[in-house]
Amino acid sequence: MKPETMLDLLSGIDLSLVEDAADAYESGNAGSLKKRGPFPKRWMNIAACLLLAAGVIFAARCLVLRFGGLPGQTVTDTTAKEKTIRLPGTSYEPSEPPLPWDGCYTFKAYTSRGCFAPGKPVVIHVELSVGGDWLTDGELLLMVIGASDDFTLSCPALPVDGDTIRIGRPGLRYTEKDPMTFDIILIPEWDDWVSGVLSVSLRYVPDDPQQFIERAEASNGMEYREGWQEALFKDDTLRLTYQDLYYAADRVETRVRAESSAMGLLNDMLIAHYRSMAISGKEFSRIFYEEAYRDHVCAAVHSTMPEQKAVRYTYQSRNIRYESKQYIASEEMYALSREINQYHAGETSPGKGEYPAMCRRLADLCLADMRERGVITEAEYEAELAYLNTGVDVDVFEPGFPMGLDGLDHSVVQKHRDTHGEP
Amino acid sequence: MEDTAIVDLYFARDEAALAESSRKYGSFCMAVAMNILSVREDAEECVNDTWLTAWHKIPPEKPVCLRAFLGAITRNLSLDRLRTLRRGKRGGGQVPLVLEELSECVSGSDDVVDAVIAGEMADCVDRFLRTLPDAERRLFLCRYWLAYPTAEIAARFGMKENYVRTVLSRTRAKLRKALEKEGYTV
Repeated sequence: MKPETMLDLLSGIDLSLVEDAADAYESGNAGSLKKRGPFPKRWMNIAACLLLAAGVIFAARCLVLRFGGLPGQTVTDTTAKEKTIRLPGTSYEPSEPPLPWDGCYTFKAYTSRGCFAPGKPVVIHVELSVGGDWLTDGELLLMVIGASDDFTLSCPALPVDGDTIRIGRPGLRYTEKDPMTFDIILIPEWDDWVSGVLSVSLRYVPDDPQQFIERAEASNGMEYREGWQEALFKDDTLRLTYQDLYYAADRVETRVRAESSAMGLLNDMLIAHYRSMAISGKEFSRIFYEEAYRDHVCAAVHSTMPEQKAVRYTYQSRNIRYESKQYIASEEMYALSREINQYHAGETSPGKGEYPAMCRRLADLCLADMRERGVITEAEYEAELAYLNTGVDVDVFEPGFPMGLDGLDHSVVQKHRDTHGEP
Repeated sequence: MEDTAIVDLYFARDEAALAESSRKYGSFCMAVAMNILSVREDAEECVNDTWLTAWHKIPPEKPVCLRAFLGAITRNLSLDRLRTLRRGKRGGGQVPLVLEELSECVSGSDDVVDAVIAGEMADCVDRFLRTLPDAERRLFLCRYWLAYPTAEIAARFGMKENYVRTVLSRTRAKLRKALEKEGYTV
């Protein structure tokens, strides 16, 4: 076709279109270049605004979760594989001076996992039992971050005053068979859902601190040392991170088994949560080594074999992490390992101050073995020894205790999964 | 005077119809003719012929859009005159440019389009134009029906000339596709 033909064809179109074009030309208004859609423009605008608003809310929520929240809020970092929870910080006023027994146990829930929703009650079941004669009269304070003005405490058998529970009535002790239990029922609010964090803290404050220390020392012969509280409670907060704690707002059982010192309480809580799958093994290791015990030296003796006099140990400090293979130990190493294991098994009861000395000796032997095997250099050995001599706390854990390297007790995890399924 | 009154004058065979048409739409028809021919004398002649042709066509025809009806007459007369003039290598106004642009959406082959096919294709173009957004359609018709220069169109609508050219180019491409989709070889 020739262009002239097209020009002629245009002569045949409906003249109303031409009229319209001529009108437009005359008025100087060409109109819209957008094709008219099936919906009125106003509705399209409203829909676009709603979408934009939803996007802004979503982005804000992501930012809150990623970079932090408002002052006093507990914040989670969702980008990390393992959730890192910052200290509650301003969420409560710490005692002055900080008390070594003043722990703050924080439970977390994550909206991103569908764990709670605004208006939907979350029930946290707390079970506190006391193995020894450790827990003295005092107060258990409950602090809630998020939903702070809207929670109830269900504790019918115990005297409750607002958010405080009195523990240790005359003649009343809480054992594993007869624990103290109570429920915390929280009604999350919209703000909690936006921030993505719902946090509950439990804080134990004994009436008589001196009595508490004496009982703690007497209960297992451990010495109370100034260094512990500085390391463990230097922020006046015991840091625990719980991943997968809530399963879609189902009842969560948290067993707190406290039987020795503040250090022992931390250990027991960690182990209890690890074994109940409240925290994963990986999470356990991270909390244990990177937060709670980052300034401590830990050693564990695994699977001593009487026939061969063989041992396997794990050494863990802020400088060195090493797990040995099974090897024929020296007489002293083997004897010490047996002695410690017997104590862990409850077969012996060392005198006051003996146990910490055994732990330190074991750490020394582990270090010497590492030097002999070339795991650490002479300089590293000297540096580590100097570090131990600063008075850092040394502890030894019983066989099967998850040590974070290869020492995780996977059978416990598997058993739990077999029983309860995947979280 | 309203268009219907002017048409009534035509039907009444009142010569005042010519005067009213000229008074109301003389400048419009002149613009159309000038856009095509670019020579004032030729354009004036075509516009004068427009009134005479309209006098012969109305009745029986009764145009709804009188301006477009008269403009169409002017346009056809102007194009006919242009062809005559071009044989003598004279004149042309915007038409050579318009033809050059339209060559993008046709093959340019020397075919013969009979009246029936031409009618069908005009319908097709008509349908195509109705699918366009208002502004796009108006720009297209201002350029290819009324033959206004792109610079004038841009100035009139407060647009940049480049923008107008881009819109026109896209519309031509769409037109070609639409015709091919309907089965016409362009």
